[in-house]
Amino acid sequence: MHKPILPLAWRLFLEDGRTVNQRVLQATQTILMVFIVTLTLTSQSVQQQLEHNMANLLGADAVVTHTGALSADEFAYLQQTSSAVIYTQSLKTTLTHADKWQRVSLKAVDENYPLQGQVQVSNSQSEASYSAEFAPAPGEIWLDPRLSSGLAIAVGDILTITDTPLTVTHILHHEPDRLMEGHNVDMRALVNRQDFTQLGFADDTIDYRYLLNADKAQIDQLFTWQQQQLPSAEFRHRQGSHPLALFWQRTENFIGLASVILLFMAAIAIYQVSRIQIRKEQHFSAVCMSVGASRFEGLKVSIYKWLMHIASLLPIVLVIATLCHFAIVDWLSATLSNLTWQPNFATAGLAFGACALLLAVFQLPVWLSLKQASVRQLVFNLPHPQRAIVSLGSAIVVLMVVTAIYSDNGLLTTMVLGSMAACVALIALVSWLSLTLGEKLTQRYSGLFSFATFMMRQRIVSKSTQIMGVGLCAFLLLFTLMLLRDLGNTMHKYQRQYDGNLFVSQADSTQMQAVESWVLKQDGEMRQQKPFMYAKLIRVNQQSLDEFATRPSESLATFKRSIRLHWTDVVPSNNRVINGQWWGIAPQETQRSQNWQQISVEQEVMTDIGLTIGDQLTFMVGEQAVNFTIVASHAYKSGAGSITFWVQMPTAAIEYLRAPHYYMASIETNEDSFSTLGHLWQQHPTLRMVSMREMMARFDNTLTLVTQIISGFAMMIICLASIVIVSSVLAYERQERKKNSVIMSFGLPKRTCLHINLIEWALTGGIAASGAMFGTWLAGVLIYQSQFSLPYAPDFIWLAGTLLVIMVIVIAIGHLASRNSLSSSVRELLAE
Amino acid sequence: MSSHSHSLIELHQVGQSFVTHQHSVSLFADLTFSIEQGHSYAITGPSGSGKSSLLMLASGLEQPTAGEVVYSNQGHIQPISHIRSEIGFIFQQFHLLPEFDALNNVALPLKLRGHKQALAIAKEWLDKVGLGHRLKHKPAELSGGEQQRVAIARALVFNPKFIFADEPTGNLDANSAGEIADLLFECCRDKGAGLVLVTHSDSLAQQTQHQLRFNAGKCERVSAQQRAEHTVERGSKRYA
Repeated sequence: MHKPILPLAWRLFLEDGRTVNQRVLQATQTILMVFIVTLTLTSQSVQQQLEHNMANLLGADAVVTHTGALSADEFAYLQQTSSAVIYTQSLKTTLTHADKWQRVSLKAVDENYPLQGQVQVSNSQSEASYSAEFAPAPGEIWLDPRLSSGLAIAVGDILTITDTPLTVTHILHHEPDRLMEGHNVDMRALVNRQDFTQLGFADDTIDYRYLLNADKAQIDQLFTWQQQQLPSAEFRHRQGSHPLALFWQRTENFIGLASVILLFMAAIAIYQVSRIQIRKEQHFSAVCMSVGASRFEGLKVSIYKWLMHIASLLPIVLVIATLCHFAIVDWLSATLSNLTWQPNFATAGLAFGACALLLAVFQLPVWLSLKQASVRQLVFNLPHPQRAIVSLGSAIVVLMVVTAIYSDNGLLTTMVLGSMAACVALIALVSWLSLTLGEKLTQRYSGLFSFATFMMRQRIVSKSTQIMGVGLCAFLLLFTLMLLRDLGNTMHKYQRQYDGNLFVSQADSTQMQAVESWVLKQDGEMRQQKPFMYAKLIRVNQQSLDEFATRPSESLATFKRSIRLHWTDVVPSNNRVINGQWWGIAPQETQRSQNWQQISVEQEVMTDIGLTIGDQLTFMVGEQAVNFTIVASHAYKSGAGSITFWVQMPTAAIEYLRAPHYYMASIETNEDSFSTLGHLWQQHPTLRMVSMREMMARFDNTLTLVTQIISGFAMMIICLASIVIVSSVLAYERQERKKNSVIMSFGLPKRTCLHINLIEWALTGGIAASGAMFGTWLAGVLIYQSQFSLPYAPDFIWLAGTLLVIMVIVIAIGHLASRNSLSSSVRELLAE
Repeated sequence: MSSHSHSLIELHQVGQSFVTHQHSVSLFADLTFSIEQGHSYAITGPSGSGKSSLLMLASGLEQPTAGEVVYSNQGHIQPISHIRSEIGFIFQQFHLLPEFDALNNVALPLKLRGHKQALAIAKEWLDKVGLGHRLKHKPAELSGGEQQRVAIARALVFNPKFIFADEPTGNLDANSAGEIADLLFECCRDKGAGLVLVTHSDSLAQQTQHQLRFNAGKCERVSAQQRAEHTVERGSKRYA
């Protein structure tokens, strides 16, 4: 039964391959598939690497992390439930040497360290590393190579921490238990526990990590115990997930969500091309039916042909995606050490199959249209009905599926899709308004411009689609370009203006006093100072956090650690209440004591975690588990400093909570006085303070990374934008050729057609660019504010310049794509 | 007759051939004749004999492979391209733009030329071809005959000196064809336009003043006597 159909489908497949519209379709499909397959392959590589790290970099079978030491009973339980246990202590501090300082992660160990694996050290920066059979002895400190360079200190030199001299005896290259230390890029130093104790850091600032050798049963037992008895602790084990797994999942989701934009553009291109396809396939089916074949056989030919097209893409997609995968892994290996490239054709094949299913949904309108193919159509030369609603429906289904797969953060999804939808609606509205008004205003006038607006208005559906494709590309490009440019500029300007040039992220009362007197001495100014205490969210409505919030998000990841809990009675001047009722200053003592268990949570966090007003949050504050009810949500308001807190409670609460108080502050001072900071740190090594210059340097590094990612993404968008333009031209090429031929049949020269074409593209570019400009402004207002907490101040001259460039490019691409229709002649009309 | 009557399109020893599968095929050769403004011409002959090619050459849309086509205005000889803007076409498939209503289809040539009264003139023309009540109808809403009326109005609205029509009644039934032919001749006569039409229809050809017939690879002028005999012959056949 299939025998006669397959060769026919093969023959048609070969014929199709020669047509421009099929090539455009294949290019669109290839770009989409390459994107998704590469993303899947990269994700797989990273997850495998994380699993490998989990197995090799935990330094133990299980690790319990807790801020502050466990009680004797708790430690005894760990000893009972494991075959061996050791612990390390670590904290963030600033080490100084001569006039240099560096923020480091200082770790203290004893002679039993490490529990599993080996420490790699060398005797100098230039020498090769070897496995150390010992830990740092009292009076010794080991520094990692970057720290050694940053402080300009070498093996044999003395480093003083709060008057305690320590000799640098080794360069530290690797610790087997680094995994639990957050995969950060902090510089590192290792000391003996004895010295660490002498330094006298407050216990609640120290992270204790208990490394255990345990079997599976013991691990299960420990897990249950931790959940019940020690909810504020973090428990990791070999069989569990990597701490970065969630972060990577989120990154993948964000990129996946971005692919919605690519899919949307591809949907436009595919819709345009399918108009031609529908006409061809209906005609073919009708011809088949006129010679006795059934409609189903026509459908089968169409499906086989499509499968052949998809199969023909497989090798191309696999090769390109594998190359891209290789390049990305190479690029990522700078950040994720030991990440290596390995071909993974099984995963690639599966991802390809999933993409093919998505593309099949896009193909549905073509197959459904075959239902309407009939011999009557041939006899009466009936028009081929377009199934715009089916096409729209298919596109929406695909977009929804992809959104559902990748969406993990309500707010981000809403913002990405919301800005996109707003831009699409806006461009549609601008198209309709400008073309309708253009036509109305010029209908009484003659000339090429009025003709062009009239023609565009008449073809409003196709023109709007074309404008939308171009507009969306322009919007995305413009927004990403602007974001990169403005973010850097605004950050520099804004931070300097409102937050000074020195930022204290954690200081206890003594440290704060020292900072204040230092500021006074330097003739500086304390811009902001806000108190907080650390609290860890352990339960939401009596459910554990993991049970309550199952989707990964930035907020959830942060809530897994201790967060800063701020107290205030009035709404801070850089906040505004979004929902609920903020508490006031209760006049009576009794009211104060009754109403202290209420909090306000930042709106974005509420959306991310899925919290609502009235929810009960249980925080571990110090050793206490405290319940709070959410009574309000707030959001950041620019213009009054950037220090803002996710969670805020009434001042009355501090009377009931036994936990150390800390401060965040921003300072404006003469940068020359920074040279005296070393002394301040020498006295208060745990003071967390960073200069704006350093922060900007970190920000610039992030920006570079983001620029690289966005540039890659922009390249794909440009490719798809060009495809959208070409496909929209192809879809109407027949009508355009006819129009041009008819114009020439009035005795007008070809030049007239060229001018009309240029006017049409200029209008298309202009409307699209205006829509894009507005969309960019809208997205700027929404995203700048909520994601970067920055006021949006666009540079309109820059925007206008960029738009002009976009318009010129659109006219050029559009004109090039329309060359074929401009080569029409009156003879064609005679020949029909 | 209008003041344009001294305008002529002259074909001097014109030939047209093309190469296919390494063989040269000659459609016609050594053809000399003039198309005078205000006169009507029919080109007849079997399919594939070269009728449309001759139409293309005479209208200056294609270059002949031999000989030359020129435009003569009051005795001044100019290249045929000189008159290109004063030539209109009518097609068998009408080729109205589907997006435009009848009024705008007719106004189109004037609008493109920047004519301020385009719509008013177009309306007059539609009244003239009997479609004053169909101004706002799109081509899809008009019958074949009505579409061809619009096409005739559109071809003549910008007062061209010559109209070239390719099978203008080929897509119409006998009644409509007759009406359209009458209208076409009447409009061309009123405007003093030269009319060259390609047709398979003997009755349509008989209505023209001059006829060129392709026959067995040759293109020959049909004399008045031959045309008269042919009319009698057709008449006798019709009533036999």
